[in-house]
Amino acid sequence: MSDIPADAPLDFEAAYATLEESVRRLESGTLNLDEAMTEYERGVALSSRCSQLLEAAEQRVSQIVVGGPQPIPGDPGE
Amino acid sequence: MSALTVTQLSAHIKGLLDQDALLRDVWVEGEASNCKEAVSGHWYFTLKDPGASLSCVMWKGQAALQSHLPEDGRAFQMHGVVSAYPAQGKYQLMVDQIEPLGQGDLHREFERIKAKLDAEGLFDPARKRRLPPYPRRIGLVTSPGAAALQDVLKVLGRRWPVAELFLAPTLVQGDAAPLQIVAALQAIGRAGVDVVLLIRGGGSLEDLWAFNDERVARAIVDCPVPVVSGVGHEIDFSIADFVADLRAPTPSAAAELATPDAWELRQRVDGLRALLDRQLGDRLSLAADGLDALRHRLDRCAPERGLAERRRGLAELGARLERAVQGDLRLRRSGAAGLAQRLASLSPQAVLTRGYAHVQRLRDGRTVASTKDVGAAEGLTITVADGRIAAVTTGQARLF
Repeated sequence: MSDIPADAPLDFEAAYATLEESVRRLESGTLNLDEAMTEYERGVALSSRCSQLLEAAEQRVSQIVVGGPQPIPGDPGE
Repeated sequence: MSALTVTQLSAHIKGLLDQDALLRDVWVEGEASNCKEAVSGHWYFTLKDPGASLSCVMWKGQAALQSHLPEDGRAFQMHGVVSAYPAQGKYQLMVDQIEPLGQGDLHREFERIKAKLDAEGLFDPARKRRLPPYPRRIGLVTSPGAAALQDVLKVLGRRWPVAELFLAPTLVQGDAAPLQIVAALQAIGRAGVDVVLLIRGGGSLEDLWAFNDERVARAIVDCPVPVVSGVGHEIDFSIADFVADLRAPTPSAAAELATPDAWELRQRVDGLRALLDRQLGDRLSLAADGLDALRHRLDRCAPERGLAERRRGLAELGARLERAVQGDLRLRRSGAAGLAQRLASLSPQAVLTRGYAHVQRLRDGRTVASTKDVGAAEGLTITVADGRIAAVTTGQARLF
C-alpha cells in the first residue's frame, strides 16, 4: 500500500473509504497485536495517500477545441 | 350660443377619457425621452414616435416593481391608464409596467418552450443525475473573457484545486450563441470530464436568451456527464436551469455545488490519522502492561532467589552439624584419655629416656641404622633425651 505510484489515478473516494475501514477494524478490538500493527501501517499509508491527493496543485485550464463556428474576437461575453 | 367654462369643457374631456375601456388598460409602444426621476421618486418622461408624443408618469411605488426603468432613446412597450388633467390641460399615461421592446414576445416564447419541454418529461427530477463527489476532471462551458469564468476559477482554486479543468469556449449571448453552446457541450462531453459547469453572468432576459434556446436544452439532456447550470443571478431562471442535473443560483455557486471542500476533507483525514495513532497507542500500552506482569511472575521463579534460600538452608545445616560434632567430641574425650597414656609409652621420647640415642647424618639428616649408612669421618647429629651432640666417625666395625 505504501508503494502507490504518484501518478496513479486520483481515487480519493476509494482511499478514504478504505482508511475509514482500517480505523473501524482497529477500534473493533478483535485484532491481535500483529494484525493491529499491520492494520495501523496500512491506515497510515492510506492517510498519507489521501493527504497527498488533496495537495493543492497549480491551477491549469486546458482549452479544448470546439468543432463548429469559432468565437468572434471581442465577443461581448457577460 | 351657450358657452362652457374651461373647467366644464375640461371635465367633459376627462369624463370621456375615463369611460373609455381601451384607455383604462392600454399597451403603448414608443421611444422614451426626457426621462427624469424626481426628488419624490416619481418618474416623468415622454413616449414618442415620429407622429406624436405622449406625456408619461410612473409613480414611485410602481417604479420599485419594475425590472426596467425608462431610458432616453430606448424603445419600450408600456402598460397603463390614460387620464386627463384639467388643471394643466393635458392628458397623461400613468405607467404601471415597462418592458423593453420585444420583451413581451420573449416572455411568451419562454413559456411556450418551457411547456413543450416539460411535456416531454425533460424537467423530470427522476432524470437528474447524481454529481460525482470527487470530480477529477471538470469541464467549463462559457465565454473565456467573462468575469463569470474568473469567479468560477477562483472558487475551484480554493475548494478543489486537485481537479483538472477543461474549457470549451463559446459565445454566451447573441444570435450565434445557441449553436456555439451546443457545439461546446458536445465537445466537452467527449473530453472525458466528470462534470460540466455551464455558466454565464447576470443579464436581462434578452442577454440570457441563448440559455432558453430549445437546442441548448436538448444538448444539455444529451450530454453524457452531469451538467450544473449557473446562469445569471439568483432570480433568473432559464430553460437550461430546468433541464440541467443541478441548478445553481450563480456561476460561483455552480463551482461550489460541484466540488467538495478539500480543507474540510483534510481535517477529516487528519482526524482519522489521529484515531489510528491513539488506537495503536492503546494497544501497545496494553501489551506493555501484560509484559510487566509476566516479568514479575518470572522474577519470583528466578534462580537467584533459590540460591539465597539454599545458602540459608546450608548455614542452618552447618550449625546443626557443629552442635552434633561438639556433643560427639565430649563423648570421645573421656575415652581418649586412656588411649593417650598408651600412646605416650610408645613414643620415641620414652626410648631416649632409657639411654638409647637417635643418630642422623649431618649432611642430609638421614637416620643412621647401619654401619653402611656412614663413611669415614662422617659428620653426625646425635639426639639424646635432653639435647643433641655433634660428632664425627672415627672408625667402624660390623658386629651383626
